[in-house]
Amino acid sequence: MPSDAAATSFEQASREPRWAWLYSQGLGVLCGQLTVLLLAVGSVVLAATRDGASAMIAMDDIRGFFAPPSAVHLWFYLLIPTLGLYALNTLLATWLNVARRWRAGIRAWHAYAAAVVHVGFLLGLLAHGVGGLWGGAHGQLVLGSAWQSLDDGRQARLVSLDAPRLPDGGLKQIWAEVEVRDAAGRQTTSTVSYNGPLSSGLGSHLLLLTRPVSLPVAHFERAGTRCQLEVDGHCELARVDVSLLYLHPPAAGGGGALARVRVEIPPSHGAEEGAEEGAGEGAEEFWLAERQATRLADGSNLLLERIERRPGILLQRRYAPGNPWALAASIVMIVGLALMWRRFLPAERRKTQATSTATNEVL
Amino acid sequence: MPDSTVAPSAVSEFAQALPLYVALGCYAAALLATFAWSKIAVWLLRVGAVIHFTAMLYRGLAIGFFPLTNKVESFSTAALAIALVTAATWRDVRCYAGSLLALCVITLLVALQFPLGLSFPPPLMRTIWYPLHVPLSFTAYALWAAAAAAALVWLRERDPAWLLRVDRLALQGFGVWSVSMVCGGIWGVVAWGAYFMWDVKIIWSVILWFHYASFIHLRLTPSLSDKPWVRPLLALVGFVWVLVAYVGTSFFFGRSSHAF
Repeated sequence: MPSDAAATSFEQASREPRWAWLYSQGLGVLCGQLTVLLLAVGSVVLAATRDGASAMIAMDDIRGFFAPPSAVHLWFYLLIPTLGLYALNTLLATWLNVARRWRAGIRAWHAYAAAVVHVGFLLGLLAHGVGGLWGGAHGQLVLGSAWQSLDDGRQARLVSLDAPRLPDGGLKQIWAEVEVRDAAGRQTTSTVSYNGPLSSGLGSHLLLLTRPVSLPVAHFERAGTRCQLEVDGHCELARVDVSLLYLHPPAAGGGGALARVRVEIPPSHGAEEGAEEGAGEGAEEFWLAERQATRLADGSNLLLERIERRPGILLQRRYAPGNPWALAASIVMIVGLALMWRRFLPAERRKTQATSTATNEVL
Repeated sequence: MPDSTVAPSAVSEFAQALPLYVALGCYAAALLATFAWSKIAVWLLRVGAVIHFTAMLYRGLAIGFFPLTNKVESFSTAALAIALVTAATWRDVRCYAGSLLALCVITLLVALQFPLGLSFPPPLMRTIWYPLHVPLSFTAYALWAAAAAAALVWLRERDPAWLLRVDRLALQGFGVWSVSMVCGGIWGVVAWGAYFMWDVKIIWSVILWFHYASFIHLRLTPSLSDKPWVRPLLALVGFVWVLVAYVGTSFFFGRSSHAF
């Protein structure tokens, strides 16, 4: 009877705590639609102010909305509390729903499917916060045949580069085989491509292929020993440490190129070489032209034999701490959706499914 | 994504487009049949979908990749998704089948307005995540279009069965869209280093997710239990959002990381 129903409803309402609105479906729907509205406004604002107030907003960064704060980003400032309230509503509603079902003795996995999807959503929000506040691009790195230090403490070098072409001559893909070694000296091989970055920390540290480059390599000779150096590389030539600091012009090989070289001669080195005791010890920097030799302080000659160009790759360094959280959110959400597969079926098929399951159980 | 170079082909542009025109003819005939001879409408639709699928398969084989490298293929695949969803959820109700077939015809007509040549995919498209992400997106669009068509039927007939159909189609679209967003997010990470960007297309993708996420909770909201019209209304609003997300962001918002 309606009066009974009204009385029950009143009774239920009076038993609800005062903060029941915080975990109500109505608040969730309201927050969802408010998010839709604010993001729709934001999409128009971002498009209109891309070169103005929104110029500092790139990738998934949210710090750009505050650098400096601007009235045009009011939609975003309102979005933060809206999503905060949405997250709180989802968390409380999910917790209470799971607790209620568990206490009622419900143990079927699919009964908790929606809760799993909700957890995925909360992890997704966390990912946006973490990535948006702490992520960012950290310059570029050129990888050639010499070992280069990476941000995560490992070292990498390019082993081979393949650039297959399409029938019309266009670039199909870049395949760069890269050797990576960790602090313990363990080596692994990875392939870097336009859709295959070098990554670590579940995608939080990324080196993304920007383009292939041509790297100048300088060939040095001293006292019958030889080494090849890329810019910023160093090698030892008969116990003398040689570093290549700069090449001018850096993009052009062949004649006329100049190399800025730093040489460190260890103490007592001269004695071993047969020169005057202690002669020439210390560091010196100088310019050296191609096919030109210079006399070092210890009396030996350092020759820049030639400069040649070798393939290399230009990589974009990116720190994306939100990626592992987003990955976790994706996995949890997919699991949740998979658990609720029955709900995707038409009602008539669901009935058939239930009947056949029941029949099987009876059999 | 920018269009890549045009692939050389011995077959003329007209011959490549012919099966698409035949499919368009089948869909248009199916649309007309819903008014006069509804029994054959579904068969015309099925024949059109088979021809359409074969045409897209040929384009894919010609470029050695999933045929989604330019605007003609984007709209054509969207039309194919609508045709397949219409065939799979077929109901011999003119308002439902007719509105979906009309949408299918319009989408394929739009596709045929663009240059019909073949394009090779640029290196960034060459990943498994791309042919997972985009077709799933179009399937979700088609399911939400079907939810909107079912909403139109409910608004005319007030039959509770159609309200259930609106709910189910919206939920199916939400599930497919969620998987599509995950695939797109993974592609974003491997290509750009981020699963999300403040880009209009991506923002509108998130808008669609939130819209339908709140939509599927409407049925469970006690204060709305006596207002069944809210769900059909939001299904229709959702379809407008789909149009903004798919067409609007590519053509009216200026720069985007997504060309289509």
